[in-house]
Amino acid sequence: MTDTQAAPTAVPAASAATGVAVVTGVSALAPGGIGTADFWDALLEARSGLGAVTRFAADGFPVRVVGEVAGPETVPGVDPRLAVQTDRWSQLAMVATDEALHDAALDPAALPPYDLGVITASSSGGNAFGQREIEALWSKGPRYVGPYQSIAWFYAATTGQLSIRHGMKGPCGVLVAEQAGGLDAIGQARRTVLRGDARVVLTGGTEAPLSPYALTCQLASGLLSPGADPQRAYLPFDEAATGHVPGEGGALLLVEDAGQAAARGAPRPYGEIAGYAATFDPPPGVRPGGGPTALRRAVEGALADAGATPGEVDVVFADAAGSPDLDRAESACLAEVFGPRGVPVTAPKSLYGRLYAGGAPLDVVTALLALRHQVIPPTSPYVTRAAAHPIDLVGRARPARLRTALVVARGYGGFNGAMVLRSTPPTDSHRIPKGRVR
Amino acid sequence: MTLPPLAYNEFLNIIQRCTGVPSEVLATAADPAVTIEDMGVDSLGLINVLTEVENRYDITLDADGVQCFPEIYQLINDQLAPAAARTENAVVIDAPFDLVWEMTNDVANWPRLFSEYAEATVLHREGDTVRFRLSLHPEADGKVWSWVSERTMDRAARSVLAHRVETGPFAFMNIHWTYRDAPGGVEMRWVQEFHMRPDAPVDDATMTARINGNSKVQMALIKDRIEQAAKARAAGELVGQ
Repeated sequence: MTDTQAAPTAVPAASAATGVAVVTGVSALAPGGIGTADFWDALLEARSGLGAVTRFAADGFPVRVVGEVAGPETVPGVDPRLAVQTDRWSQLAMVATDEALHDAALDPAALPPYDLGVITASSSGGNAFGQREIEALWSKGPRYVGPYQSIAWFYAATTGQLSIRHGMKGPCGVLVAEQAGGLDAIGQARRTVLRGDARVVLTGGTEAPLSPYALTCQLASGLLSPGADPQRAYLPFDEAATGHVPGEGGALLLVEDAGQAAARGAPRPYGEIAGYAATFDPPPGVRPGGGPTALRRAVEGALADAGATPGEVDVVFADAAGSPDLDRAESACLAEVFGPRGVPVTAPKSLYGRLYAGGAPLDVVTALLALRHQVIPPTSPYVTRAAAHPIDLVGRARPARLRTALVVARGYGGFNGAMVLRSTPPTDSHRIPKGRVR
Repeated sequence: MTLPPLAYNEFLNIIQRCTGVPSEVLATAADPAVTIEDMGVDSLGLINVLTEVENRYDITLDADGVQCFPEIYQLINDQLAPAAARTENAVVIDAPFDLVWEMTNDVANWPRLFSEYAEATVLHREGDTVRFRLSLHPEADGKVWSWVSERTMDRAARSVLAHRVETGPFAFMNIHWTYRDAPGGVEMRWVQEFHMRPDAPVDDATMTARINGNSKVQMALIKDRIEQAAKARAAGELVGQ
């Protein structure tokens, strides 16, 4: 490393690789919190971003509360040339990417294009864009479907736009596994970096699932909350849980090898992606044998991948489905692995909703911020843990010694994912500043 | 002289809406040296512009090899031109320009200048632009043709642009009047470009013949009335002296 430290923008030598994948840049776009600083403040103050649907007349919908980010038009900060050809979901990712790149002090043009990758998650693609064009198709005919439909709706559109925009021509892809997909994308980014296939991977995901068509698709799961009170609509682990509230937003992150990050002069990493595992539920109607559930196998797989014992985990960011059966399955799993009330469990997403492909990346960012600030952000104060859930649910911001965090995510359709994040010790050049760090 | 049915400003609006280019980039669209690629518009953006125009006018644009927006604009107008019928008629009036201009642009007085109009009602007047309703004399079956037009007069340029606001049986009707000094007086020239709607009772050819025939009759009448007025005014001036 010493031979490359003189020039931070110089191409680091491959020998700088340490085999540790770290996050060097984060972002956050959530209902009630735009940008990492604002988002973190909102969480610590338990400020809810949930409210009534304002995008369209939702009178006929059995869904009354959602989590919206900004107004209905083009996401602020997006070039109008890109706005005409992209769905809101891609626009959210562009804005988040700008924040993450700035945060990581990374100028993509300073690195060889094939050393930069983009691996995002998406669970529904370009909903509003697609709905508009399909309306043109059935109301006026095929000639009225705009050409940008061909590149705007599909799952890989965001990855493609980010790749083009930032000249990231290395390994690119998209993972589709509903709420678990965000962990799969970050896991794939880690794998890509550790294999040496790319030096830096832009990863994470966003979702914009609040158009009439997108909401209608979600109704089929039967998991959406019908509640009309923003404070009471999404109450994971509560006796009164009736489903979840969908929200838009997410997070993009930059993952790179710790040694190479240091060699390019990156700011102090937020932490290490220490472990990851994904499993799939058995088909509906098939009773698993006596072994552990697929969810538990994901959690234990991630711990094993990180070389961590359950006792080393300082905090768990729960999937927090908000539906009684799913909540019971998760709390039972956590009690089995960590012991009843064996570890602090929190669900900040109860303040802003489930963001699907954007949700788990935002939980990862939240976990990394918790490791940095040594505070566990709380679950919504309106949640009262039901006695049936043997977990230590964090109800208010809790200062704690945090070194290792676990993020759990489940996606509708049987996807399970778990990720272990570990704080990285500061080096001489990355001393922890005093006071609250932004 | 051409009167393209797609106005240039509207063409620019379409480009901006379909490609999202910022205003300062849009301003370079008129320069044939600036390519579409230079403007940061990709192939899909160009397709978006072309299909918007194609759908609006029900035409097909072959833009293979086109490099810049002025070429596209030309393609559009080349396509639209065959869809437009055109009439051109002129008459020389032996009278001073001021009198010819005033009498032919006094819309409210048209029923006394033309023989075809029963009524002319000014609806709105702003600067040199006037919007008005014209009604023809009733036909044998009692039907009265009536429509709203708008004229913008440019006296310094000796030119008037008009178009039908309520287009009725026309898909569009654009009118350009010009005046110039000529041997024997002032030449007044009427150019009309139009296209009949598919459901109109007559087609472009029939309407062209009708306008050409009627223009000759009306121009002869207008020439006569203005020349008489000129004589009367000259006589008055003589008497006054």
